[in-house]
Amino acid sequence: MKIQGIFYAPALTLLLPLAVWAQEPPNCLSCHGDKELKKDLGGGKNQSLFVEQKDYLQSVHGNLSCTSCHTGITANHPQDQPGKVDCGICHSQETEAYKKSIHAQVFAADPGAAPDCLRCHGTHQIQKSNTDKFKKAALDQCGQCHADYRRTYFDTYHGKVVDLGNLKNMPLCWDCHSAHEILPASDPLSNVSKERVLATCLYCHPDANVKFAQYNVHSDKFSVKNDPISFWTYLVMVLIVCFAFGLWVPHTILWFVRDWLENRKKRKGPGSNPPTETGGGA
Amino acid sequence: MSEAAHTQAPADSGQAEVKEILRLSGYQRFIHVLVVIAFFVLAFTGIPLKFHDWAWAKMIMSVLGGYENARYLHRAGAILTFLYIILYFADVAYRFVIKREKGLFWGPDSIIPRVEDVIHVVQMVIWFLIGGKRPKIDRWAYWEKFDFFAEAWGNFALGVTGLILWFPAFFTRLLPGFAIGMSTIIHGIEASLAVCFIFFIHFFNAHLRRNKFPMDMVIVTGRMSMHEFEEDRPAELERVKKDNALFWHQVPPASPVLAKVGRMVGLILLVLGLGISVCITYSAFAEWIPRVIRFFS
Repeated sequence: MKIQGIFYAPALTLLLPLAVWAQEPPNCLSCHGDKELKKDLGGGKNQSLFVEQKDYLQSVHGNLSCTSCHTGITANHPQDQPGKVDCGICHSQETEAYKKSIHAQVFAADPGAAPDCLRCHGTHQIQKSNTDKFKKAALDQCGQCHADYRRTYFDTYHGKVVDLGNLKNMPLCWDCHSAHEILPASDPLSNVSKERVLATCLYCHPDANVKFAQYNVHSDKFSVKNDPISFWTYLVMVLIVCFAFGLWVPHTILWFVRDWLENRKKRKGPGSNPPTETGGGA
Repeated sequence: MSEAAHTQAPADSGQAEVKEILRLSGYQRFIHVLVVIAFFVLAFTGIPLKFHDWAWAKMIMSVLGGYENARYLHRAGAILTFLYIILYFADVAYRFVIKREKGLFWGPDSIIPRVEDVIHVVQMVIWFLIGGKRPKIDRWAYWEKFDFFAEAWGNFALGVTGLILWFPAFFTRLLPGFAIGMSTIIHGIEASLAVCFIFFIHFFNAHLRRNKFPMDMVIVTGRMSMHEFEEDRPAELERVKKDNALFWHQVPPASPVLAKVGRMVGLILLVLGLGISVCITYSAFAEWIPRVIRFFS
């Protein structure tokens, strides 16, 4: 009994949020727990209205009720038109910052072309932003649109260490570009603009200087247009490698073949004296 | 070797004891041990960073216990490298200035290339292709000279770029910002080249030969048998005999324990080194073949 109790205790703790959920007067999941529940968007398109209970309970919002975010729900549901979820109810700072960002401007014009809160953070399965799992997912999320920047990031020491599994001590996309108030480098207010990039570097490199900050962290060695210096450096280095091995690999192979031939000849020949075909002083 | 050696005839011990030829001094072997330690530390802590997206690199990194360990070990390896460079040049300076050794920078005993080396290359290629007689190699073969200068160039290129990457904020006070990006590229490629060159070329040239397999013990014991000397360095032997200086090159054999330990350590390092070189080569080809195909299609 005692031993079993040890196993039950954590299991019961996991069930606690479920108790909160169950208190919600009309149980949302009695309908939204149905995988087939869909909203007809017209034109043969559907939007799934299914909510995976397990994911939600494990999310950072797992202890909130549905109506904490879905505020527009009335007694008429599902006939009413509950509006979009406003993350700003709780996360006002982040939402205000996001509204100033280039992402918000583009999103307003074309929601498919830029992320809103949900695109990066997800919806019901939202995770804490300081977990490695979330960071890796977010890194890929940035890379979905900014593929070249993602690739060149992994050419730097920062990116390589991150790829080798250490996400703690190295800057990720949002550490330099900022997460919510993200602006293009051409905007003087951007963290990575000419005017402010040094301040961004100084955050981790207290001895950084102006020329240090001029280093193009996203330099693309495959593009002569993006960074001719890196391109030519890379090309020259590759040619040095080709030159060195072009000379010495044939040399080594030929030497091996000749050694083998000489060895065979010696074994077959009147095998008496030690090898002195090299001349020597004997 | 040294001038004094030629003038005094030593008293003959008169014993029929097996004598070997001393080729590398204790100091030189000691420096080579430092080179080997530094090289392995640097290779195994640095190469995983260059090939970070490959499973084998992640495996090496986790064996090392994360990038922080790798970073400190890599810097320790760098300090050891600078140390042996200093020790090497101190020895050269001592032999040149104090001992006034002749032929340190020119002539057959010097590591500096000569016209004969070009002739040896041609003779060697002819031997490869049609057989016959091998070139009469003197004290240093042309492939050893190439190894030496390849190592010197590698140390220079990796040392300078490595320092820039170690102290980027300091060096960008003197250099433009793109020096950091350039250094990253040069350091990574030069390091991959150095590792593969050592294990595919240096090891095959120096150790994995027919009569030396699996390892030429000269780098551990400093000694080479009279028979090997005759076969591998005929020109040096002729020269030494003409000077009546053979005795000065002859030493009693090294302790068998040294040879045993050396062979064991050497074999472990060979397997490790060849392993990482195969990984590098595989990954480099896997990265480059699609690139080349894309370029030409």
